[in-house]
Amino acid sequence: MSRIRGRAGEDSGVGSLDSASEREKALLGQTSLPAEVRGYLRAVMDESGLKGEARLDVLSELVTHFEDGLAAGRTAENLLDEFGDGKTLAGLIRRSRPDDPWTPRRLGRVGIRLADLAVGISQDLRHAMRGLRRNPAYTMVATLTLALGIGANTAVFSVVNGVLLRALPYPEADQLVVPVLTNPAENVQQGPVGYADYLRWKEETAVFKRMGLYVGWNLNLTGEEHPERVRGAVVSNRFFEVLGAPPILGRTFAPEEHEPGGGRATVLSQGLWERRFGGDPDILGRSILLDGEAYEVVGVVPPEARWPREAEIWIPLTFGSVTPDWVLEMDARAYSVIARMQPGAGLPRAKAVVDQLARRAAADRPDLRAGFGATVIPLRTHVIGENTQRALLLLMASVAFVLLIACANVANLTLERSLSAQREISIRAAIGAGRIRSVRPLAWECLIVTLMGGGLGILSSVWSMEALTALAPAALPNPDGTEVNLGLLSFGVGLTLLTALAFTLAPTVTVRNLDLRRSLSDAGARGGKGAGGIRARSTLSVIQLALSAVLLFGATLTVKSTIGLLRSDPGIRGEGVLTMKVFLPHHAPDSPEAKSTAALYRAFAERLEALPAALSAAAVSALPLSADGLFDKLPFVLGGGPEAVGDDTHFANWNIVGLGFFRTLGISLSSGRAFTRDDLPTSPRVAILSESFARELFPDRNPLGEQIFPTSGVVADDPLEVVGVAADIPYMSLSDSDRNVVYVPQTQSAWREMAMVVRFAGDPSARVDEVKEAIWSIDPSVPVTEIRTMERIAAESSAASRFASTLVAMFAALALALAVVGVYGVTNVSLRHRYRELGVRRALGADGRDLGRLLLLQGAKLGLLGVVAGLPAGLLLTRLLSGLLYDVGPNDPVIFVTVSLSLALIAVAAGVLPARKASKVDPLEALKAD
Amino acid sequence: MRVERELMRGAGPVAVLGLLEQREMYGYELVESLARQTGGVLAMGQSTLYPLLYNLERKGLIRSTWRVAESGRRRKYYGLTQRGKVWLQGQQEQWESLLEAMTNLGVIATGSAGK
Repeated sequence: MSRIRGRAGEDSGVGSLDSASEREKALLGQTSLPAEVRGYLRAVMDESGLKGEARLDVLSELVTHFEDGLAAGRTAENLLDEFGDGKTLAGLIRRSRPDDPWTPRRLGRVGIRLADLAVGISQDLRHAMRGLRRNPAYTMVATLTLALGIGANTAVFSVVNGVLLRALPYPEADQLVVPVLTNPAENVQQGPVGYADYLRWKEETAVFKRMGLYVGWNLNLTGEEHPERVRGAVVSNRFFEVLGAPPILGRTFAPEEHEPGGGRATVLSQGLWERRFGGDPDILGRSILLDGEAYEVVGVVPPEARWPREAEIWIPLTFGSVTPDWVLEMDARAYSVIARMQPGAGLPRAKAVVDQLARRAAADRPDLRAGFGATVIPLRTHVIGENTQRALLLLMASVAFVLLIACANVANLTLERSLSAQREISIRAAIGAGRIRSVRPLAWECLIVTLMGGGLGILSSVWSMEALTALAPAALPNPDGTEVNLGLLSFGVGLTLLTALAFTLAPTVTVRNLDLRRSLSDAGARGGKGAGGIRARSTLSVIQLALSAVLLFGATLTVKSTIGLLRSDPGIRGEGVLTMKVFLPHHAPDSPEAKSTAALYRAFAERLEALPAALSAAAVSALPLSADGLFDKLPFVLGGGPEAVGDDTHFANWNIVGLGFFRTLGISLSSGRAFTRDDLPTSPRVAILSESFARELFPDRNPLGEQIFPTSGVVADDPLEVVGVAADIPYMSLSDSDRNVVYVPQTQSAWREMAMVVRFAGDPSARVDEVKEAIWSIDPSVPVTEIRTMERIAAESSAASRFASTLVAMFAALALALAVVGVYGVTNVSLRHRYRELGVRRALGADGRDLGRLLLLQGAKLGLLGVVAGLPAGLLLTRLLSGLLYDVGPNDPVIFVTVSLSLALIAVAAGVLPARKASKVDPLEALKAD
Repeated sequence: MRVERELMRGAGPVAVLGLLEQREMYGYELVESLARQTGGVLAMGQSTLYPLLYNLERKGLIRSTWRVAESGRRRKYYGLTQRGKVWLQGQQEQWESLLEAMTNLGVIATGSAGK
């Protein structure tokens, strides 16, 4: 039978009335139905008030109905009879509103599927929510546990992200490297380089695209406002091209500006330009006073071109009065280099190239270069520091462990849930619901719990960021980077989804191994904790304990190291001491006291000492614990003069100190004398050695009276006589093991970048204004900066260690708590599972204590297994820690034994409650319980 | 025996959805099945069936598609939606408990529910 084209139902949308009525005419014209039926149908349709496609659709269906009836052998009268009164039918059809535009059919096939899906999901969700509401304990514990894990991870990730990943603002920063000289024999790992090295390395254009030379150079910016000490650098030709970002204003240095007498040009950082000059657009060409000399501003560079990182001002490198040839001949290793590698050149190749060239140079000049090689360090590592980088990665690893343990815990809880839901699931599976369908609500429960936990975790990480950065700032190179951002959020969300995936799969897997008949027959009676459940839970517990063991090993070592560090006697008495930087311009100001740099500092010290509560004061080039201002790794030989050259060259850190330095910081002298007023520029040169260095240099004789001869011109050109030995004190950090220091008197080695230290009788922080006034009363143009108490310097220096160990200890405690909950859970469930068995044993005469012991033994077994499983990973982790530890061996046996034993004990303790219950099992009750 | 209108109002949709749960059906087929399989108890006047179907479809419990049957005839087939399945399940449970309650009260004798 031929049918008309385009019946309603396949045409989407509402066609025009005309075409619908034409198609209706065609439909009724083509059908073989008797006229009375057609008339009836037309009347019904008219009466129903339906129009357009809806009318055509209903009509088509009714026509088919009559055709089907006739084909089945019924008569038209019979069929009409069954339909009854046309008016009633029309009314019923009208009320059933087949033309309702919101009928799901009208949404199309996909729409129906989607609507179906939505209904299914909302059904499951309602079911899951009901399940969660009925088990508030499970819901709370699981949600909070996951929130803890996800929150901690997100927070730590954002710190690591800020420091490691976003530390460098430079374009294609991964190509940037720092070539350095090395001398393993002398413990030189990142030594400054010579001008000659730079010239040689620069030629290696296959490896290095660009290379720049610089020296950190601080300048006093004067004129207009208060004097300001500005950090800056002297840079070689085309230095800024290495970094790659163009200036936002003006230009960088022209080649002729690097010529001697090429004019005084300077480039400002955007920050300095905005802060000091209010972002003046007419700054170019303006003259500013640096160290009392006029420099012309030629450009302003953005943060992406700012190197060294703290530099705010740059001046071009010229060799001034000396020639480059002289610099080469002297081989003064006083420069730093930054380079951009050719894309694809690779770090190993760059390392090989610089090392080969440095070794050739060492072979050419063994007198100056014996033992020197070179390497390149990625800029990122250089900026962050290898130890910080490693500490952060370890932090990340330990917090990931916490999440793993949290996951194991929730998996445990979920297992419990899915096992008690086993009967319900079995019933559903038995009445024909698919397996997936049966566990769907449970999977939804997991998903909801994870999402709630994740949401809560992300929220709490946002809140905890403030606390975290408050704990961190001094320790981290880029505190600005640690903020709540899109990266943090997406990390948290990603982590949540990943966790959700794992948990949503958990019940599905459990139910796959379900024995329907068994669980139907005995699940009801025993609450569904089969032997399989216990085994799975035990495995999870062992994993948790193993992970906690690893964390505990690491945390105990770190904490022990930090406590040792904080308790270690740095050899100075910092209380009451105020420090500040007082840097003089290159040209001493025109004041009566300023006959020489040394005299000026002497005058400062005397004026400070004259303050009411001051006990003593001194100038010093390098403050202890501040890693700043020390002349590190300068070479010297033993003996009285250049003829000694060729003997073993030694390297030491040099510190230029004023009179009263040792007294002010309370550093004791173990032998000899301190510097005195009689150590004049004209008198024989003298030096004081640190204790361990003196022992190293003169193991078999008294160092007093011995002579050393510096081979680098920076400190002195004459032999120095050792007149004293001072206690070791740390300069770089508390954990720094390099204590080789040579002290020289400021009167004999003038330096213009000194700090002042003043000891007061009371609280030094209240003396800041007096101290500034005292300095300015001598010279008002000298900037007084970085005013800090010695105690604050010490605190900042150990901040990184405290930060890391606090966090690791926190994570370890968390992990342990979670693991204990896990062990308790297993033992408790095991108690319920073995209830009947315990009853039988009791009935057979077993002592209550025996039964308790049975369960305690189980806890102990778990603990032992956990420790054994965690030990290898713990050893591996602590090996990674070795560089970060102070005075603690990474494989400290005492710690390993103590931690292992305590963990096993804790595992036993977690079983105490269930064990007590076990010892009180009433045999009658237990036997009836089955 | 025919079921009273009020009862039919509750039972009709359940019966229709119950049939459609087994397979998709078209209008005439539904009418026939209802009459045949229930011994005429749930036989429904056509004037009731089609509006009932439209109602159920509007509520999203069933969906319809025009298809060509094996005989070559084009018919509108009805099938259960997910929502319909869920609804039917709830109804089935209610009917079961109602039956049980009636049996327990002795209102209906066990085993005679089908007559």
